[in-house]
Amino acid sequence: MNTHSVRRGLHLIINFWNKHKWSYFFIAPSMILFFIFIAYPVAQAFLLAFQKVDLRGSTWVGLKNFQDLANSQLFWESLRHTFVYAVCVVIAWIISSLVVAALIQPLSNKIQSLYRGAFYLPNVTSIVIIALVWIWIFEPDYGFFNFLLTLIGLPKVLWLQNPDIALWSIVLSTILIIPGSGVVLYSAAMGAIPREYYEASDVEGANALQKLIHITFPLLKPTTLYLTVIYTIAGFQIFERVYIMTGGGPINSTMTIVQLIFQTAFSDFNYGRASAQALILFAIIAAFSFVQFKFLSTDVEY
Amino acid sequence: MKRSFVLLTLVALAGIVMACAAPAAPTTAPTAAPKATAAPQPVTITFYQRGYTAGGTDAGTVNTDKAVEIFQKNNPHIKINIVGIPWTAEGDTKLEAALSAKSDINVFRVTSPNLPRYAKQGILSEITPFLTEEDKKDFYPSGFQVATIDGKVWAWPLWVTAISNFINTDIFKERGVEPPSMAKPWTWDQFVDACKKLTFKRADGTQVYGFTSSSKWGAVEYYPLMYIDGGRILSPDGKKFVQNSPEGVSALQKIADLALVHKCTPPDFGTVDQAGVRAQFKDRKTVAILMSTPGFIPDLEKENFPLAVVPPPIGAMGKMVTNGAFGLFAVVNVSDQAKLKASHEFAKYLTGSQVAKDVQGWQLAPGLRRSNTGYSTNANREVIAKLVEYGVYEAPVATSAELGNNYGAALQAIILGKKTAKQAMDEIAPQYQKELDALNK
Repeated sequence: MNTHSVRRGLHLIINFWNKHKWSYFFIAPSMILFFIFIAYPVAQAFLLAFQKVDLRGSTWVGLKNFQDLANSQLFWESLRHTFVYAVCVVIAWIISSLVVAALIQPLSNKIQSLYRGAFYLPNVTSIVIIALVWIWIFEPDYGFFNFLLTLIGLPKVLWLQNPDIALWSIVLSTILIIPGSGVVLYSAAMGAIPREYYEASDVEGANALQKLIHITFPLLKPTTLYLTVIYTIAGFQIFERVYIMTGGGPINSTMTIVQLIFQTAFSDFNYGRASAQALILFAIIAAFSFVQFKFLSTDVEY
Repeated sequence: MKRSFVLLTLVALAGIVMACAAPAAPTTAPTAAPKATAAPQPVTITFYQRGYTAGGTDAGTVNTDKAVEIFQKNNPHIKINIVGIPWTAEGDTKLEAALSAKSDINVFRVTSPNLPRYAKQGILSEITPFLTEEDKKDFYPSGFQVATIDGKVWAWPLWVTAISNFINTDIFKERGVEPPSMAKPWTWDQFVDACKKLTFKRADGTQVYGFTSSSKWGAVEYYPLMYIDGGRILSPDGKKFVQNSPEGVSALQKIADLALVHKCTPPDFGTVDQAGVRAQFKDRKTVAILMSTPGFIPDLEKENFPLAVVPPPIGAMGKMVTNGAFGLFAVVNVSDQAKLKASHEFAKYLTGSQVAKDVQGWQLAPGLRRSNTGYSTNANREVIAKLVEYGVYEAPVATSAELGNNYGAALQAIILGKKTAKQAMDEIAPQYQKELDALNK
């Protein structure tokens, strides 16, 4: 590299700096916070996953934390519960928000807005409050669900106390609240589909089902992809509801991966193992998101 | 994804604190009591107190302030800084962070499950050099037993939340059942008969149940019943899991049979938490007998609840049994001998009989010193204080949260009828023993 090249390089850098310095100055506060509170801790969590941490400090243990997890029955159970919960919730949420969006689509704009607001309302309510209300709904002696069952002569159900159905009760409590975000996004996406497609299909003699399958669904694919990804992430990260409603019991039947991470980190203070669990969760979510993008992504623009 | 980062961040933040901590070697300050000097030098110690809020008006805060004020008055060379931490996991995390960062912390409330871990990691200062002969005679042996690890005592015992049966005397009168007493405790069969009589439906449709107790893992309060036939969880030295013995199994099966065979417990027995059973007993009045800790008594007294405290029933062992959690104060091992001595003096005061006299309401559970009678202010509290003598306690062992989860799940499986007591205990035994063996290596 000769002097001329060095000078040219320096000149380019100085030019770049003169041109963009204010841009970097303005994004600096958020970048600094990002590195301090997200990038650095995530890197630390990655390192901790390969260490044994106690009050005296930390020691490298290689893959031991991961080996211990592989041998832990509770870890596999928690993964299975999380997977069951996520799959049920994602499917139910996608279907329910699509159906609600389709039902409110023919209504006037004002009424649509009203419904969108109504369905979005639970999203701004604290999950803690929602979970506490569900505990009462599921209460064995005085709960609303068992009250309904007794009205029609059916025996009471131990919704959260029976290990065979506790996880399903939590799934039920989640899917019965139709996600407002899905309704709003599907509703907006449906409204944006050009009318010409439907008019053309009318000319071709297509019925309502054919229009739904061949026009509406394909054109909603980008929205469906987005919702599937964010609902999958939310599903895998189920925590507050389980923590409040069952604490992972009975008989560990509702133990989920984030609940286990919380216990490992903040009951056991085994930060190394908790970080290993968190890394595995991260890998699972990343893998699911990749698969979803691969199979659901589309180039359709309208 | 954002929430994933938040979680990772939480875990990692704790790691940062660890990473920023001082080198791995534990403080190696000797714990021998230094020789007394004529003019003690001024010393400041930091006291981490659970449930304390600076400037707060709650009883715990006010009592702590008063105890500290009196101690400082009597020991003018010692200044106490109080740091309040909550009883929740947040408090645990703050405490761990302070201990790992070796920041200013000298005296703190230590929970029994964490004591062995702290002791083995060299965090604590042994109390034995600071015990007088009078102290040794004054403490109940159980107080030292639960604070002893590897033959050394690592914490000052304050109290034990001796678990007993709380009865609703109105329901007893309604059903014509005579309550037991310390002089005439129930046998197991008498207890079961009474529970069955006390399980009934009122004319208005209200279902009343004979017995319940907090049974969600992490807040189990039916522990005394697990010992009534002579069984226990661990061998007295804490090295063997023994609850799959016939004595251990029979007691567990008896507890399960209250729900499965005698049907005298509410349907949520086995999975219900402390708040749940307390609401059933105090607010809804749908439970006649509640097995619980003394911490509930002030609430019941405040509301003039028709309460009588009675001993747990007697099983095959032939004598009363109680169990409970211990209140312990630990002192952090530091190289500054003046600080160490002052810390032990302060911890000794906080767990002595003098503080119970100085601060009314200090003693929330029976003390572990024979001289400390401050708790027995009425007949109900007297029963609890007397029960301390019948305590059966496990050796302190630092098992993992995962083992705790699995053991809790095994207990729930028995009560919910998913497994027999023998089957559940035989299944958990190898896992339990494996951890004990690893700890005792």
